[in-house]
Amino acid sequence: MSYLREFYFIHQYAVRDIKRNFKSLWIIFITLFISLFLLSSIFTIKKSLNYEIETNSKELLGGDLEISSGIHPLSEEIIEKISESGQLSQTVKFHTMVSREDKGSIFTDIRAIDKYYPLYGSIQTNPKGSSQTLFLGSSNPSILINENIQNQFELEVGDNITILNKKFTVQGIILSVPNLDGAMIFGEFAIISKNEFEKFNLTSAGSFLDYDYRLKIKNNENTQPQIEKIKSFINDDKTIKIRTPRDGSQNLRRAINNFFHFLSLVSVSAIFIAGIGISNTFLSFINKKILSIAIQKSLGFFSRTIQLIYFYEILLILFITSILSYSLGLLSPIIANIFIPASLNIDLQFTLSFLDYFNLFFIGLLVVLIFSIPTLYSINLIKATSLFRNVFQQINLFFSFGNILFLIILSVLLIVYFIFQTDEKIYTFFYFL
Amino acid sequence: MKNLAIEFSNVSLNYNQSDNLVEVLKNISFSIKADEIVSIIGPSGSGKTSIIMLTAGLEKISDGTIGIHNRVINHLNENELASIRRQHIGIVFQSFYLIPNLSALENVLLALEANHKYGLEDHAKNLLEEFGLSHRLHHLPGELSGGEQQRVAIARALINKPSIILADEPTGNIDEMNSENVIKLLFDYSKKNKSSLVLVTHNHEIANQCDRIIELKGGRVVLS
Repeated sequence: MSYLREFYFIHQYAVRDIKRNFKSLWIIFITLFISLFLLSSIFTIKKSLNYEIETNSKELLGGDLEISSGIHPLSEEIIEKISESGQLSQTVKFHTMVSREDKGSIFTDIRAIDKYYPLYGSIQTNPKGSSQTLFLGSSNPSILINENIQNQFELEVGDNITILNKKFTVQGIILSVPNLDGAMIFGEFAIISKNEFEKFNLTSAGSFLDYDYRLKIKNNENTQPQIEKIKSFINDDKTIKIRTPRDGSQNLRRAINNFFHFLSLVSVSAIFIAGIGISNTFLSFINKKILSIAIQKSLGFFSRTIQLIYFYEILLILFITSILSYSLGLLSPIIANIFIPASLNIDLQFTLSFLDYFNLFFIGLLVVLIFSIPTLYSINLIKATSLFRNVFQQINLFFSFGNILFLIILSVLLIVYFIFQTDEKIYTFFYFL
Repeated sequence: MKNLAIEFSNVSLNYNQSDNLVEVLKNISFSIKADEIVSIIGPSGSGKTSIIMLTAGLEKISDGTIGIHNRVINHLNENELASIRRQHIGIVFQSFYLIPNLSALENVLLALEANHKYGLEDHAKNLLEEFGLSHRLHHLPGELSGGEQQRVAIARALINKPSIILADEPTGNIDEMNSENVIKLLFDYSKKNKSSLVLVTHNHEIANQCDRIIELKGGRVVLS
């Protein structure tokens, strides 16, 4: 009970002290807030991106299974066997020059699709539904292009472009497609129908050809047995590659994780640098409090109680700033959505999670501990005898064997904690080293 | 057992200052009874304030023993000394030393809180009212006059009903009229509660009002 009363006293004193000394403490508030907000935003965006990839992994692959047979198509026999398991969609990717009269040529990534494509998701175009025109069988073969080609050739819907001496009419601008690749976002990308690809004998693109097959399994609640069955009769041919939605999303997820890991390291480094600022501000705050601390000691307060009061103040600041940082960090996916290219078809959402908040708070706590301990220990150096001598000497950070050991343990804990959260453990270890 | 509040036996206090040994107190001995009012006088640097600091357990002696209520305190650690201070001792400083960002009432309550006595706001208010400060309860020290600040400081020192009051030139920074008030408050409390009052002063008029005078010169007791 007495501990509870003492805690209540410490709480009351600390809250009052923060309120009345806010001018001296606002730098700690701001520094902690900015560094934790950065970390929170990075964690939140990373988590929501991974979630988005996980939930859209089939759309990202374009099927329950992707089979790539390289420059040669699969044999009719294998296609027939695979088709037994569900709906098969065939696409051919190739790279070739696309040209427009008087506008020159550009090397373009072209995808020839069949009418089943895409098995998951949809092709978003402007005008809407233009993808259907690819299969109308009109006299003029149709093509969908991305914005890069449109901009470079100054094309409008209805204009013509040439691929391997064959004229195609632009029916729409691609905004997004499932099983996206880099060319769609950063390069030149176009879609034609597979019928026209065959009709015009574009197979002369030769070694640039890449045959892909995607399968939507009939009973897709449990796709694994079907996938295993298909793998079993394809496995003999080493030129054929099979990818599941998990494989497909893994590469993207790894790339995202690496990028966000780098950002997290930068952010933790920023927290460490911020910690130096916190340490200096806190020391300056304690130096302003020398008189109060000396009076408290003359009244019979233990040094430990006084240290607890000021530590509690820092904890309160951390608590407030971490809640603020976490809450605002949760909004970062909304802001990120504005900057993510629409062609990626990614809609980031945030999810409240106590564990995520605890993670942020714990990192903040370790940093705050590491940088406030030398200041807290320096409270021991303040003597009530100053009140009789009227001489108040400024204190400095206090390092003893004990607190250096404690600081080392805390630093190791922070590094280990961080390393265990990343995929790149050795890299992270050497970064900290 | 003698009814002694404070007992100094052969106490010496030395400092090392730039390789020179400064002898502040030289083998002094004296005792103060539990209900005695004693003034310590002497020229500056004679060791008056050092006696207060040693009695309060804020300074370590170089030699000898110091007893507070028959308990030797010179071997106690900082926490044990802090416990003795908050249980038995009230200190009044020359420069008042109130915590600047706490109100008069909060400053007094702090002494109770140091002693793990919580929720005694009415008790603190009553004492401040008794000291004529009912209209200043929620004022910060900066908003009080010197005399008022010293009365708050005395209330803070007395709120725990200490058996020993150590006052280091309590009238040094206030005018004559306030000085009389402050001395009266201290004497009244001491007599009413049968507490020891140790008063360091340069004012012989105040010293003469005490039960006994201890005079120091060059770190030695010349009159006790």
